Amino acid sequence: MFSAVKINKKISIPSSLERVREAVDTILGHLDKTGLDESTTFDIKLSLEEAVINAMKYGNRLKEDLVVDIELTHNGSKVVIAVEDKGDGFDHRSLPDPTDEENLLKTGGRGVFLIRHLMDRVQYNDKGNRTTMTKYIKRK
Amino acid sequence: MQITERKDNDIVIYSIKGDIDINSSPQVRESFEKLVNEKAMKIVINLAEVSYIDSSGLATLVEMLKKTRGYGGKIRLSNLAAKVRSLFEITKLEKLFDIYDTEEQVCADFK
Repeated sequence: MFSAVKINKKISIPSSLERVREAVDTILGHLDKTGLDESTTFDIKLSLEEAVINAMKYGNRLKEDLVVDIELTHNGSKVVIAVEDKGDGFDHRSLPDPTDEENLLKTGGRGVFLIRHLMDRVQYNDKGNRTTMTKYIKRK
Repeated sequence: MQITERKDNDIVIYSIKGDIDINSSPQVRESFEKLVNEKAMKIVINLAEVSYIDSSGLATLVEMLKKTRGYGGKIRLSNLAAKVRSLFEITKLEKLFDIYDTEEQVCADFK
């Protein structure tokens, strides 16, 4: 049954890769009873994890005193997650395409690409330190 | 995360159980180093019990593939869950890896 639940939660976590799982589990815990199917949950989990890791590594340079802010909203028809770091931001348009033949054997550069594919909408603020990801919930 | 290793003649079969993510990828890499040092030529990675893999997990598999190729070895994947397989399609890593539905198929093909 489609859930009309409304959720609005914010959490802040220190930039330590050991805290990624805890942050992702906390957010997914809030979505637990909203009736999301397995595939949608997978997409949200992976996108959130990639965004948080990028924010910690490239935004906050793994400085533990700098936090990553995560904001979750769910209004019944869509899940919106914003991930913000304290860094200078990045130009999302300048990232190489990891599916290009010459990049296939590279070990990095797939995180943002995966987010764009798994979520329905991805937006960045002008500074480039806040990623807002939207997943529309399909009615059963 | 659990990794078990067994042999079928000259084929080394690695079965991974659990998520392959930023926390567990180092364990996969470390475990695989041994095979690289032994220069194992035919390697199967059975992912039947992996329901989640992130970009660091994919990167670890690419790294393993590169190292194996470096000495002429072959690495093949089997039993991917649908969502895990979809990541190989999205990222086009299916072009790099030989992916089989079952472990039996890979082993038969290796022989």
